Amino acid sequence: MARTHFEQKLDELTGRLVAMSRLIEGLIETSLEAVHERDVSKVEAVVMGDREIDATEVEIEEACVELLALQQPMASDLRRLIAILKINNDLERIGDHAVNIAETAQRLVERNSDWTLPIELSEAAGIAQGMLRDVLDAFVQHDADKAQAVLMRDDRVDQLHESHLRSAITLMMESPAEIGTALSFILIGRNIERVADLACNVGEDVVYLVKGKTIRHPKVLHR
Amino acid sequence: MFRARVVVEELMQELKENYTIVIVTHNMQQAARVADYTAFMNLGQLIEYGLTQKIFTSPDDDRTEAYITGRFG
Repeated sequence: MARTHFEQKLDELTGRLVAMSRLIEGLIETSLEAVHERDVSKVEAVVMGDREIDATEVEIEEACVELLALQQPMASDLRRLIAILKINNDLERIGDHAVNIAETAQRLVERNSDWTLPIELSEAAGIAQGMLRDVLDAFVQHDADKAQAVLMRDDRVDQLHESHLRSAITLMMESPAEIGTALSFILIGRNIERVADLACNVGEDVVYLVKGKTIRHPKVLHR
Repeated sequence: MFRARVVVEELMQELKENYTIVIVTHNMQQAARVADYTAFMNLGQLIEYGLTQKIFTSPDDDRTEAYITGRFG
């Protein structure tokens, strides 16, 4: 069957989203390197990369709206377009979190305190990065099972985030001089946890795209 | 023309409170707007029947999918 103009447009959009997703993976990687290596020179690269992502997000959204209005897609075409719109938005938010992580690292370095990233956050960052990588692969491969497997890993990130919060609060009570550093770590932890949450959102969108099933909010009765 | 469509569809919305309406159409936008349930038929065969929302977003049958996405017919 000949490929329609609409299918070609959808493929182009998908290609742009995949390219954007690889850029996002790189931004998260660089922002975490800024933290691990206390390297403020990486912050600028993250900020610039995020601006590029913001511009791409708007372009993809406009192209989606145009296709919705002009082609009035249905069934799998409609689901694909909706998934692209939602994933586009989630990726843009992940870019913002990368900037938050990098800028917090910069403040930590400028405060010139002696610090290393808490082990809970280090582990959570590794898991969140892996979740992001795998869920984007699941989108490219149209693999709902792989996307659902990613969702399972979010609980561990939440546990590590909670554990770190307790440690940070204890540290602040015991050593008021460390409050600034502890608050920065809480911010980094919060951003890592949100990256994992957004990876889960992408995973849910992939399941909707492939199976037409909504798996968000399992306690809500879906039609 | 546009006005006539609106009047007909509004009338169907009113009538369906008390009557069951069966409408046979090739206008899928209209079917999606007015129908509670949709059946897809091809060459005299009932291919798929279900809630309109389901048929137009995630049909079970590949032939329904192909028809409503404009890949045949």
